[in-house]
Amino acid sequence: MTQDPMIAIGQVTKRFGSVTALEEVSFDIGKGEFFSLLGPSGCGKTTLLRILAGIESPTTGTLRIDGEDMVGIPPNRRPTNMVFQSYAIFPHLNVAENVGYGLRYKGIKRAEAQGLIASSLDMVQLSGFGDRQANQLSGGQRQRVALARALILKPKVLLLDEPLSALDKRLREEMQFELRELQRRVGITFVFVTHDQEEALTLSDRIAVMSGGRVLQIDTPETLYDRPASRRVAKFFGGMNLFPGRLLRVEGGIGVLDAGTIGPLSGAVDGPGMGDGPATLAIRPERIRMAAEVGSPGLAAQITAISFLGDRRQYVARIEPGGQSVTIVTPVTGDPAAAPSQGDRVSLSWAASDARILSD
Amino acid sequence: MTRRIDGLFWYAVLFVLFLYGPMMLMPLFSVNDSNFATFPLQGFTTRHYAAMAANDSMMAALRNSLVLGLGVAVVANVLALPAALALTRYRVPGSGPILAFMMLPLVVPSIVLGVALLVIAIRVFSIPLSLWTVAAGHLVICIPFAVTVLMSRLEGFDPSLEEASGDLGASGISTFLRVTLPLAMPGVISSLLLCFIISFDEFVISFFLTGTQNTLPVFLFSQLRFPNRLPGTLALGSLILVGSAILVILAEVIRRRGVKPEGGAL
Repeated sequence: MTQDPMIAIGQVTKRFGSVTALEEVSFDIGKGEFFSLLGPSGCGKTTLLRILAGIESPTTGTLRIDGEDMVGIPPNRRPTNMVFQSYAIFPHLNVAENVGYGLRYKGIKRAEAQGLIASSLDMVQLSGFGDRQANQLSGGQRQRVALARALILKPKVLLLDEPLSALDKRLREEMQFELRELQRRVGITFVFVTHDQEEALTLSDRIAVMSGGRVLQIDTPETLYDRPASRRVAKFFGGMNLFPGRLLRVEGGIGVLDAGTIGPLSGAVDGPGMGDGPATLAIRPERIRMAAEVGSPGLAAQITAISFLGDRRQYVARIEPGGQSVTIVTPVTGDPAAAPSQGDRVSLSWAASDARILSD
Repeated sequence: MTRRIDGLFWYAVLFVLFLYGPMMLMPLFSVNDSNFATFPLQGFTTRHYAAMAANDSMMAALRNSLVLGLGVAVVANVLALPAALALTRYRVPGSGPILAFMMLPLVVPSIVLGVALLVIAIRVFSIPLSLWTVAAGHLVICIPFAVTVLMSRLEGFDPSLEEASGDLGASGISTFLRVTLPLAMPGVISSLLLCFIISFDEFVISFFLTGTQNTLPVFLFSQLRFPNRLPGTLALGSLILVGSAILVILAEVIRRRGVKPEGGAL
């Protein structure tokens, strides 16, 4: 971000009675960014979104949108619009009336409004749906109406509160693609709340991983996936194999972890500042090499389960000393008979640079 | 199995007869060509209806009750709607006790309320008794009903609809007029009808607080001393019976229509 940020969140804390929903959250969101707030339910991501919208106000802290101070400004006077989780389609109005709801507050005349509504419906592929009643729409259509209703007002920031969670899997994937396309086309900053890590990885330019009212890490999907900064972030991007232990030493960016009965394991350590103490080694299932012959260097393990995923095979193996389960994913190639089968003994290894040693 | 259902069926028939039988006698005697409400029936006539229409003081009492009911219903709802909104939409400190306090007139016997209001009107404020004092008394008992009906309606729809309206640029008043009120309308209408019927029907409080202008129930009570006027009373009673049945059915239809499509949509 070389230019000024679109949203600047400074030390925002929100308390509901004795419950702290957000604790000193600070970060910037760039202009035109597709930014996701990712975390389990109750992590404060929706509260933060509602603070951006002005529906909730922060207990302490500052908020600037496009350089303007937003504290104390009500939702109807903010340059933000929101797509609600329930979509909040007005049930007593038809589709066109829903989409055009906010136009009068922008001082747009009736004649001009008709054209805007038509082109907005067109943008979300609902042309000709203007006369439909809200209760005649499917879930996907309701979502499109909610999008059109917000985007027609040309907000500087569009806020989306888990908009895809109510849709079935197929429709969700379709809408993910459409949403991304739409965002590129209109160039508006999107702030997207989700608890679905895959959704966040697919859609976002950057992701803020939240937990317990705090931001754990903000990075691009690639960085978060490959180089999580802590064990908690790694755990959230499911499927990672985690080996708890103690960091013994670090040499040239490669650390050695004492993983108890499993023995010493090596992995990359990002940056200085990690002393010896409790740490976790994280390795992605697809980065583990699996060799059939016993005796080669690596961890001895026995395969306990295999599942076929089309283009990949997923193995679960139990490491011999200690009994910890490890997940391994390999591409499906060539002769299926050559692949290890259940009960086979294998040896597992990885390049030290593919594994990461993380603090808690 | 069939025998049990048969038994229940006859029980239901008896039950309905027991409930509505006495009321059904009223229309029957109102067209009976006799000045006394007794069997055997004497033949068909509409003269009691003509006598009723010609009875000026009865018509005045009817008019008083209609105007009173309408006014009380409107004022009770205007007062109850903001209260219901506040109690459902905001975290009002002490909302539990407030609600319990507001519901108190529902459980206090109306004779106690009537005496208390009479004392307040005459001794404390020295207000002369009139239809206004009756209206004030009716408001006291109508507001709890209105608040209850309106709250159940307001709790029934998604609060994010109002948030969405604000988010799209609407001010608080604009949101109320364009979203809250239209969505609460089925509740408002059934509450209006309910309040009207409560006021129209009320006797005890009216009896204590009325001045020279009688409401219909008070007037009818005063007429019971004159047996020859009973058929006219029966004629009016029959008309009111039909009228209230229509109102209650209407209220129920509106309430159901209002609840259904939205329940399906959310």
